[in-house]
Amino acid sequence: MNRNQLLAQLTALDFMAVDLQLFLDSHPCDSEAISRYNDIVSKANILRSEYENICGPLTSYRSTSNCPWQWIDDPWPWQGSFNFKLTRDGGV
Amino acid sequence: MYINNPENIDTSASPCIPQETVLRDVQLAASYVPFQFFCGVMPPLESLSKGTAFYELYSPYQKREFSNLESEKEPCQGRGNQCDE
Amino acid sequence: MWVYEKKLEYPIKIKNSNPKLAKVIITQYGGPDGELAASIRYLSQRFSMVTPQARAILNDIGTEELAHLEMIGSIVKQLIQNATIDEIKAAGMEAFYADHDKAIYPQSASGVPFSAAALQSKGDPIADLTEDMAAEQKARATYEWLINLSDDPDVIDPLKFLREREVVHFQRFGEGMRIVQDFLESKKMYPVQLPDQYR
Repeated sequence: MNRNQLLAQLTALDFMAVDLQLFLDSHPCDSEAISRYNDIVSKANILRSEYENICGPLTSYRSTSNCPWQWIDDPWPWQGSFNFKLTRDGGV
Repeated sequence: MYINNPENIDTSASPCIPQETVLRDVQLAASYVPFQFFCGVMPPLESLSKGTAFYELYSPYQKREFSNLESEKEPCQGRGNQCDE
Repeated sequence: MWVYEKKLEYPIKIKNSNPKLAKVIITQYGGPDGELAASIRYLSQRFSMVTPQARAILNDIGTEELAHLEMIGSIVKQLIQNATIDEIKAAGMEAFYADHDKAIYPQSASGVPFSAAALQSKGDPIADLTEDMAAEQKARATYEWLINLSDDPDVIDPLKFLREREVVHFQRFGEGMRIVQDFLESKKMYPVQLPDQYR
């Protein structure tokens, strides 16, 4: 996968985890939902490592860095060039 | 919002209803939103594009030219109430 | 505490300047029914919640609203970044430009600076949750009006995403209300009895 496709998949999986996590806050005993949530988080974490290896750290105090300090690199997420176009098949 | 059968649920048994449909022992002066039940989620890219992982919570919006939601009535028409005869 | 992840919850990639649209969309940044108001409201009310589920719901939705705040800021910034002075004048955005250049400043569509008067943190969990449900509906309606005002798919797609999130949040606050109502009725401390038909 190229960087945009990777970011699209990671964004999508993390988003599903967030939506599921909100459901679990009000349904703490739903084991099927928890299992689905864990599954998604595991998949997302694999993509997260891949993304960070290619594109640099996603967090400023949990991700490792090369020298010089990668965290400050452009583009930042609010800039257009950081983002992908979401299509049916992923990120472009 | 509506009853749906996501792909990853076995429907040879009874369909999964993703919400409470009957509320019991409700009290006055209290508010009740029905509980959602888990019946599966959409695939990741579809979830992101729709804004939720749950089919039953998806509420599509079509742009409206005008947002007039009221019903228009001429004055002094009707029988002065909203009831069926 | 908060962890910042260097990516948006939903991608924002806008090709065309539109200061006229930016002028109204900013209301979801600093306006009374916007994402900043929502996140401060929920993150403040969470301290007074009485069941673990409600504390989690307020905490986590308050957190997600910060991600939405970031999205709105990004949308407005991308809409005005490359606008010319003529485009700014044609959009009637001179007043904002005079005060802020092309910066992002928390204000409503009509120029009222952000105020905590838009929110309450009553301490009574039923009052707070009722306010939260109302807040989500107000935000949902605002997104509908903003979608009605837009004709650029690069803008409409993220607005539709944000509108859908309000629908989902309303459901979660509603469920929180059920749990808290039952808890206050039953006077049981823990675990909370959920109503019939919860499987």
